[in-house]
Amino acid sequence: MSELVRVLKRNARIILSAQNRLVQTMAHLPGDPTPNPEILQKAYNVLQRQEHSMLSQEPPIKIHTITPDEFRSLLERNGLEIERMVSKGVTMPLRFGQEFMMKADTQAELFSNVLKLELAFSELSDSVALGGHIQAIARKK
Amino acid sequence: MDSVGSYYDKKSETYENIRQSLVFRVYDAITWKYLEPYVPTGVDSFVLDAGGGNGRWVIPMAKKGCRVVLVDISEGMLNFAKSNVAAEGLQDRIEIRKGDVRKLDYRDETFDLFFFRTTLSSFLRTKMNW
Repeated sequence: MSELVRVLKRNARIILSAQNRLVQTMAHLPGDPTPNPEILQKAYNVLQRQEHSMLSQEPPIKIHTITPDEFRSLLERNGLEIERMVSKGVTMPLRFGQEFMMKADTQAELFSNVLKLELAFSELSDSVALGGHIQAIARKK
Repeated sequence: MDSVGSYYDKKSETYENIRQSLVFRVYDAITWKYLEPYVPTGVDSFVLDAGGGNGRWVIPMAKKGCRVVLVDISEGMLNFAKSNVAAEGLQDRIEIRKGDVRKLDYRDETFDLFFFRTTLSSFLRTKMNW
């Protein structure tokens, strides 16, 4: 992060996103609660950073995740003043299944309704805890 | 970082199609809503898109008037970026470079905006030593 801040002009902005560990943790739990010790342990491990979330099995890519508070702290430690934090993907992946999310031919009206809901969430500052991604807008002091 | 580059090299082959999915279209719409107002429009303004992949974001940013540098570790993604930028005729405003954004060979205080979509998730240090 310090390298990124170094090349940024004073008072210029950095806009960056990261994967939200709170949501990644919840995504490991089934939507229809049928908890078993293995699933619960997996979710616990992700939350406690004892285990990465996986972006892909082949080749294996691990997602480094961060909570909203950790994100704020990271930015502030590196001399950035946070102007805004925005949620992206409150309904996905927590409420819509993978198959629906990855569809390329979603009906226009349905897409419009999902986007309308997501944009409304993004306007609420405290929705960052629920977003699959968090987008921060910060300025170099 | 090699594994990240390899992952995105492989992903580049289907990335254009993946970007048409519902989840990416929604994410992209929100990303742009909170990016566009901050993109500088001056011809002397300089923007860095770190981990810019196939050029998805450098093109709309350059169309607003600024100069943009895309840095990415994946050769596969960069090939798509070059093709997409050329298709838009924006080669004079967009520079495409292969590199590791943790080691940038730019002078201090070069850029007017730094955009970093999700690349941060590849670099964050954690308690784990993986």
